[in-house]
Amino acid sequence: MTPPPPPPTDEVERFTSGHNVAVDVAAIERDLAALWRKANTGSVSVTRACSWNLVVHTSTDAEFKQAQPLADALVASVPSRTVVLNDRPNATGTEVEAFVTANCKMLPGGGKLVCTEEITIEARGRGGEHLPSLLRALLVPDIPSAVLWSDLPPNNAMVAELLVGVDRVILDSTRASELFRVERLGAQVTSRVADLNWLRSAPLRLIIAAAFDAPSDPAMLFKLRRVSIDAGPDADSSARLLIGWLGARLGWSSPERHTERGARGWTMSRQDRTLQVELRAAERGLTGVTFESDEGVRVRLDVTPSAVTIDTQGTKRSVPFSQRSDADLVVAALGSRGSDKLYQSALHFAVELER
Amino acid sequence: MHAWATSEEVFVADRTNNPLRQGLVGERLPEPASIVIFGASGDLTKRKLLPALYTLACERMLPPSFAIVGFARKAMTDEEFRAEMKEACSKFARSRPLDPAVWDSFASGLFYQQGDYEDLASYQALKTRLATIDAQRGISGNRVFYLSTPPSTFPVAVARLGAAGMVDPQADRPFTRVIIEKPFGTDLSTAQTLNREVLGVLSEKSVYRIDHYLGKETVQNLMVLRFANGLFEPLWNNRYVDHVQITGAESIGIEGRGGYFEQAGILRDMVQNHLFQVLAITAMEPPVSTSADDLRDEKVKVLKALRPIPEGRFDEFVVRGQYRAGTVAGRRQVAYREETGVAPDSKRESYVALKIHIDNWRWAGVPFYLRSGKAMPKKVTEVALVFRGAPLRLFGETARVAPQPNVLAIRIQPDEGVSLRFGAKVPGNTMDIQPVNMEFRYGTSFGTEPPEAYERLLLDCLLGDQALFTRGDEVEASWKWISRIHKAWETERGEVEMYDAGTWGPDESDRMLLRDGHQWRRP
Ligand SMILES: NC(=O)c1ccc[n+]([C@@H]2O[C@H](COP(=O)([O-])OP(=O)(O)OC[C@H]3O[C@@H](n4cnc5c(N)ncnc54)[C@H](OP(=O)(O)O)[C@@H]3O)[C@@H](O)[C@H]2O)c1
Repeated sequence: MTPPPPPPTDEVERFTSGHNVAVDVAAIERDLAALWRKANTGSVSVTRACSWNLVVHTSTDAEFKQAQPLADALVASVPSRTVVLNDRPNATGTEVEAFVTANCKMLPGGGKLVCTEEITIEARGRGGEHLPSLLRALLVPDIPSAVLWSDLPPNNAMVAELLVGVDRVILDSTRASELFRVERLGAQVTSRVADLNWLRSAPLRLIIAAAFDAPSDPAMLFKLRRVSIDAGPDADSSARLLIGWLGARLGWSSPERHTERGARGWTMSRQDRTLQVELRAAERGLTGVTFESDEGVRVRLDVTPSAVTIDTQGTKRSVPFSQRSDADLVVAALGSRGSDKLYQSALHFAVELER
Repeated sequence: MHAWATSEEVFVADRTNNPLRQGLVGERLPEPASIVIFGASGDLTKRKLLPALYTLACERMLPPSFAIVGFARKAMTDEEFRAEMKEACSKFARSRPLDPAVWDSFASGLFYQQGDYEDLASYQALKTRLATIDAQRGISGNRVFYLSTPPSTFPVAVARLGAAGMVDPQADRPFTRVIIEKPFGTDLSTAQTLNREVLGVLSEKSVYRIDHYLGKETVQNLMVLRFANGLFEPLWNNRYVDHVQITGAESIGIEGRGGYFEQAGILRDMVQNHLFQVLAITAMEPPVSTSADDLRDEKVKVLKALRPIPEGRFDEFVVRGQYRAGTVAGRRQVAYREETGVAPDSKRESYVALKIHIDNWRWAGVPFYLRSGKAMPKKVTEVALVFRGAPLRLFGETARVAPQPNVLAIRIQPDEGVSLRFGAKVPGNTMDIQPVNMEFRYGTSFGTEPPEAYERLLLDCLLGDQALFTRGDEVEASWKWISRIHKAWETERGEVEMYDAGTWGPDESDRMLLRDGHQWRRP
């Protein structure tokens, strides 16, 4: 493999070719403006595009490694000013440093570079305390802002301050053992919380819903006796959110928890009857959902990475299925799907399961 | 009951109301259905329809139970049809290369039925075949018939569908919808006849007349720009707008379609349908809602308010042109009259410019100039609102260049976007004013690619949304205005003006605007 070419020595070239350029923390905006002015004196004209302020908060190397490519992939679809806040309370060294770079691409037809900008602020030790105020100065006015975590946000005063006035909080509850933390966060902020865990399962929810379209009889959904979900440990919270969605849509209530033959289960009320919901252990991912009605009708969905097979009383059909990339999910989170009303009720029901 | 369950969430389950569908956001998934394409051996099926349906499948916009049945006279097996469509989708679909898993699943729902459009027995056979496919794929009788055959076959196809008992104009469930390709008639009387024939069998709510321009993102954005913003609408009238220019230019010639074009001409091919739709959306009043009929009511009102050109004065309001040989973007273009299938003394217009008045309160006194042509310098469709100047030339003494009027230009294709021109002071010690453009481009603000017009329209039809399809009275209103021009051309001796291929049309077109003190924009 040939090693990547060394970064250009010229500051402006470094900036427009996606390399970090160190700037004065006290004058980030001024230095950035100067770089843009210089970048525009060349032969191609440069257009800056920005429709969101996207703030990425990371506090570990692993998070930083995960979030950075996500932010890069995202700017291809959503031109934004990205501000990466790399917060290391346990690190030592200069308290706060700032770097800027531009993500540019040539417009089809050539002649015009369209660029978005990325500002990285590295805070060490107590430097993290400055992050909210630095961020406030850096948000582009009149466009919405979103804060992104690749996991759940830490629960501390700095994060609470960071979230003031933010329009959208994007997180991923996939690895969360307790979903109530997400619900609590939702209650604390005025912004919409978009959960990538929820958005990731949108195609599956759609297929499950479609399984009960005519010629199937959706009335069966109100006569369910048992619902089983097969999920690996990595999909546990996704499976609980799925139960939350079903429960909220179908009017289930009062889940009572029990363990039966190694499967976690709940007895729930539905109108004047009860039904059993169980979460059966699978090796990895969410692999199946089974619905059984009082009348013995059985609908089974087998999920593989490329297709879902729907088996209704022995009649099988296969629906193609694929996961969207995380960058696509974040794009969805910034759009209308990021304020999905179903999510709140599904989350609330899923939290009830934890009681 | 839980705290989050609100009163709207009282679930009613019947066979049509699936509680799990409620509230699913962002996805508009149609009910299980079959699409039957008449003329499935043709060009449009290959270049647009199947690629659009395949892309919808990739984006999971098609229901799990879905079938596409090609119907045409050519003999073909299901397998041959699938192979042909696979090749077409690999070439023309927006999502390329093909995803093998999606393709396999999509192809399993593709069927072909040979038949004759005139022959009732062919329709009976199609009906039986559809019933078998329904049972096999779990479809409960919902059908879309797409007429992608030459227009001469539309009436007979609709009549036979009726005779074979394949359409029920009153039933909502299962639904039967018929999509009719353009052109819908060639003048007012043929459009009226076709409407009568079609509506003799179908109800208006099951007829979907396609004008693919309405499926374009930017045409829809024109409505969003106007009615989702508080800024523009107050200025959108004769008090502030001086005139409006609508351009639909193509750089290609007629590309071997001489036979067709000699009959049609640009006025039928582009203006009566596409540009009149753009005109109607630009000029209409805010609709009461975005429902299909509210929207179409407003468009019809505009078309009805178009002032008829006074008898004997067509030359003042219409310029027709025809291209001579020339060079378009470095490529030689032969003269229209030298194209195959064109008469050497043809007067058929490859260019037309119109001056139109809309007689209503909003637009009284504001001319709308429309132009459309082949072999123009570039392919572009745009609407430009040219505003009145400032009431006082405050910088008249010192400014060295006269201020230019403000222009709001909405680019429909290519490079979709909106730009606003205004005057700004040139930096320095003088009061020089220079026009500058403030630009919004789709490509830079939304990284995602907009769907193809046919994707949007096919999906809307499956969902039963007629908003982006033209209604019968709309088509007739536009033909009523246009047909008078054709009549005048037939009876009056008027000449067709020549222009060199690769230019913006005949000089007479410039003179028409100049007489009003205006000038065409260079798009
Ligand atoms: N192509 C485009 O870009 C485009 C754009 C706008 C509108 N349209 C409209 O869309 C429709 C289809 O366009 P197309 O380009 O696909 O047309 P096409 O290729 O000429 O015709 C489609 C099919 O119709 C059948 N057909 C042809 N001539 C016929 C005749 N005289 N009588 C009965 N059937 C005949 C043929 O199938 P069999 O012989 O196998 O039956 C043919 O494969 C037309 O109404 C056209 O005006 C097309």
